Amino acid sequence: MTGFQIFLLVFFGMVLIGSVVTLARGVSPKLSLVTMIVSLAACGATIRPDATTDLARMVGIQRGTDLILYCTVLVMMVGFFLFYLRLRALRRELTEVVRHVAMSEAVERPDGAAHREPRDTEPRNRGSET
Amino acid sequence: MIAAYNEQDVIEPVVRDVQQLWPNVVVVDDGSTDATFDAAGREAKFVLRHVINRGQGAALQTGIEYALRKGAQYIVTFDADGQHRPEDIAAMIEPIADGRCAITLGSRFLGRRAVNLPWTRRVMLRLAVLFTRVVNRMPLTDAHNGLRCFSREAAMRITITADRMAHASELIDLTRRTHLPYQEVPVEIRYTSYSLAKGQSSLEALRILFHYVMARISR
Repeated sequence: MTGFQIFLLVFFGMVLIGSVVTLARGVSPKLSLVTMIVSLAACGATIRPDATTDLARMVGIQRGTDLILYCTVLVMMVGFFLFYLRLRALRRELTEVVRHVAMSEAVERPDGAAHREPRDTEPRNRGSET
Repeated sequence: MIAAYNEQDVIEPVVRDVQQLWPNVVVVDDGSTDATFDAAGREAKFVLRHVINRGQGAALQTGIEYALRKGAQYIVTFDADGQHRPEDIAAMIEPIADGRCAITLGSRFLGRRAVNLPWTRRVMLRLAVLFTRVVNRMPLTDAHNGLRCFSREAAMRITITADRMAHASELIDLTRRTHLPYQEVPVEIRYTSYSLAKGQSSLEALRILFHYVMARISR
């Protein structure tokens, strides 16, 4: 095995162990499971690169590298989409907070537009705050 | 109710003109970086402020919820940039008050001619209408008109969750889903050089489309 392969193996191995631990602890189970599977596959592909070609042929693709490429793009697209959904949910929650603050600090003038400051004095107050 | 973002120059006269006819004006300042909040506070009866900008859809939702809390029976959304005429508000409320429908949507294409409408903007609007007919299954002549009126019941049923400007199309969607009767009312849009400069560019329109599609997929 080349040095680079060892480095990759160590890296993927650490990710694998980390994901197993997180899974065992019950933290983000779905994400941990996916990470575990992906890092396991990555370890396998590092040790036996030719195995990817066998796998690829099974699904009708000529080269193992092509299979890895397609899978990577697929995983990336799905991953980004899921993060986008999370981001949207976060934005929505943020708006809820901003709305709550806006409501509780609403300014109301009991006499409406009739209460108007003369133009040439300092506008000291905008009317009574509720 | 009027949602405003950085409209310090026009918000005072706009609010003043509306309040002369309809005294209960709610202004929601959507995190403006200029003096919109202060300017609005000098004229409007109710002023709320988003501490950070959340988009017009969110600002409208805040205003609607606040108005409902205050016991509003009819809620009219009105643009802050002077494009709408306060005189049209009565026509927006009347069909609802008569019990003919629960929601009225202003349309610049019905009957009257828009004043100073550039042909490029007219084409963009026609495309938006086509989009609405196909996607929302609701035949509307004007899909992007900010002048709308909701009965109390309709307002309570509608929750605007779209981010940024995508709310315009989502609002049409939500209107359809309430299955409440609606009606388009002819109104006049004033295109001043100020409002045209602030209007949507074609790129904005594309972004709105994208956000709307994403919202549909991830519902």
